[in-house]
Amino acid sequence: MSDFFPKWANRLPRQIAVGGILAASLVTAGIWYYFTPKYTRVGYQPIQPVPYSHAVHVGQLGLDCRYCHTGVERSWYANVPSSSVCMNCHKQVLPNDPRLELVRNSAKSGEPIGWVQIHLTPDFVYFNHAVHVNRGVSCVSCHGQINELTEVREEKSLAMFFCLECHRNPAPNLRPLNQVYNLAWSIDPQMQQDMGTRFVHDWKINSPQYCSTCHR
Amino acid sequence: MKPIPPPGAETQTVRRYWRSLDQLADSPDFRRWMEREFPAHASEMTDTITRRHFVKIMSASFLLAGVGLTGCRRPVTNIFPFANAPEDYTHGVPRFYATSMPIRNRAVPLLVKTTDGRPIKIEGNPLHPQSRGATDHFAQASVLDLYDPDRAQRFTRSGNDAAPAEVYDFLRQLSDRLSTTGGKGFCVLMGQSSSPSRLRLQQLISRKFPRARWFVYEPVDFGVHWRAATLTHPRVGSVGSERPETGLSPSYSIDKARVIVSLDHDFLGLEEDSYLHIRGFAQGRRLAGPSDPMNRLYAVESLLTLTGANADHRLRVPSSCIQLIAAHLAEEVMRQSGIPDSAGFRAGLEPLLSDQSLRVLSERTKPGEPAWTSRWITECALDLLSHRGESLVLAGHRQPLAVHVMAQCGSGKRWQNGSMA
Repeated sequence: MSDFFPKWANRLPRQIAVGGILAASLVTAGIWYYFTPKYTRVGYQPIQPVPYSHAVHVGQLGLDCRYCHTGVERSWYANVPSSSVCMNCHKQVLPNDPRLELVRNSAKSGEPIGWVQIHLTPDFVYFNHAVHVNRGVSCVSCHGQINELTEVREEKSLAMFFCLECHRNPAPNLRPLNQVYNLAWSIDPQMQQDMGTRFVHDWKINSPQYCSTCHR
Repeated sequence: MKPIPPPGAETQTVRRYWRSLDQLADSPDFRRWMEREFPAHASEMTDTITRRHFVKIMSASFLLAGVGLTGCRRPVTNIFPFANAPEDYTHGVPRFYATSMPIRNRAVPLLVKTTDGRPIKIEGNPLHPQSRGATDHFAQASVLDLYDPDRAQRFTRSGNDAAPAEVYDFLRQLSDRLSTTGGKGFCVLMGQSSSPSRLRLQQLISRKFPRARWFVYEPVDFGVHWRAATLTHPRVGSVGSERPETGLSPSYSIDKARVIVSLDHDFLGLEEDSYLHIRGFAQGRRLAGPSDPMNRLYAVESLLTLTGANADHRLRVPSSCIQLIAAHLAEEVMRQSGIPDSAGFRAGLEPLLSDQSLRVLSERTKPGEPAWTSRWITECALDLLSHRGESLVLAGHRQPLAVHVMAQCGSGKRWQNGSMA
């Protein structure tokens, strides 16, 4: 019988216990890190090279989103405007403001401005802006009340559960197409639900939930 | 494979291999060299800190650095928009450019998909009236050519890069030297091309140097198609053609053909205009309803080609015997159609008609069935004749002119007249 269990089997219970504790703490640490806003970066608000304020331009002046983010209706990508777009107005408005020094130089020299990226989905996620805004999903749904922000920050988590929540039940996020870019628009929640349900039916919105929708 | 044993560590039972003449001679120098662990030029660490120790320390420090998870922060990334955006450009939306790919005898009309100035896909141009979006494998693969590092991008001279100024200087000197003699001894070697721009330049140069000579070289000659077409359609060729040396270029409506016989003609693969033929052949097979007709392809070939793979009936014969099959097929068609042989067509075929060689062929492809090849030809001829005016016989560029002439006569309605140019 003495040969039945080798000698090292004596150490096995202790090894299992240590291994179990290690694994459990790794899982806890992993969840702690990856499932919290620290990882999803809600509230991430870097300092941009030019202190551009959405609150002033959109909230006060009423500039349409598409004046700068021109590609949003046609492309998967909602582009950051080129410096020349800023200069359309700022040739006349605040033409010598020191805060706009970088923009003026950029438009003159052709050197691009390095805006700090805030909303960053991983490379294995495909997101198409055009599809969403053209089917009545407003900017607000993912980017929050950007018309009130002086410095842009990440408002929603943009994690997978966030996408799926809406794809399972798109009705609360659907607007009439002429209100998609009206960021201050609001409606009674019950009316929103009724209207959204009607849009889902009328526009034949079939928000897919299979993996290859985004992970293509 | 037998592994090569390390030098020296061989027993006498196996055959001795040697790797250098030193080893074969078994010189004392070589023995000394072999006994060292590292060759003479390799430096050994003789310090107290050995290499092994160094790696140990470093891996421990990397591990400690990793414990802090300093590498797990997301990096700050930047978005660099245009400073001055080009007009009509949307990032993320591909742009399409209509273009064409020059080949030997024409240009394939293409549509190139580009994102951010980089071509990523090449397809046929669907708006082109002739090709209607057809491409072949060369056109599809040509997107890789655009990224080919060996693509001509700068001047070279004797294989080395040359500065533009130097090249222009050389060309100017050459021009000065040649203009005194009218270009005597000046030769240009070029590939075949249908480019009108090149023709114009050629004419400009010829005007300046009238005695310059031009040579076209192609590794594979596809001109036999043209020669056969010119020969069999003499009236059209001599009246309409401005360039009698090239004559007529045959153009086949494969989509309208009901019966196609290919005599070693790989029209779905490597022959000229295959991008048109592939589309035409597919169109002839496309059925919209149950009563729609469908083309039938007979292939006689020596190689296994795409055409043979798509054929309904494939006859595998040596390349040298295609002529024989063609002659027998011609003879069989004439016999079955019952048209009197006024032009003496059959007499011309006589030297090729030999039942014995057909039997030998059958014996090779189907042992024990000596009549197999001749039966194949009979059925093929029957099918050709039952689709008068809708049949097409094609001969490949590897075949001699005689086969091409027979094929040209066999296509369409001319076969039934028994006329031969």
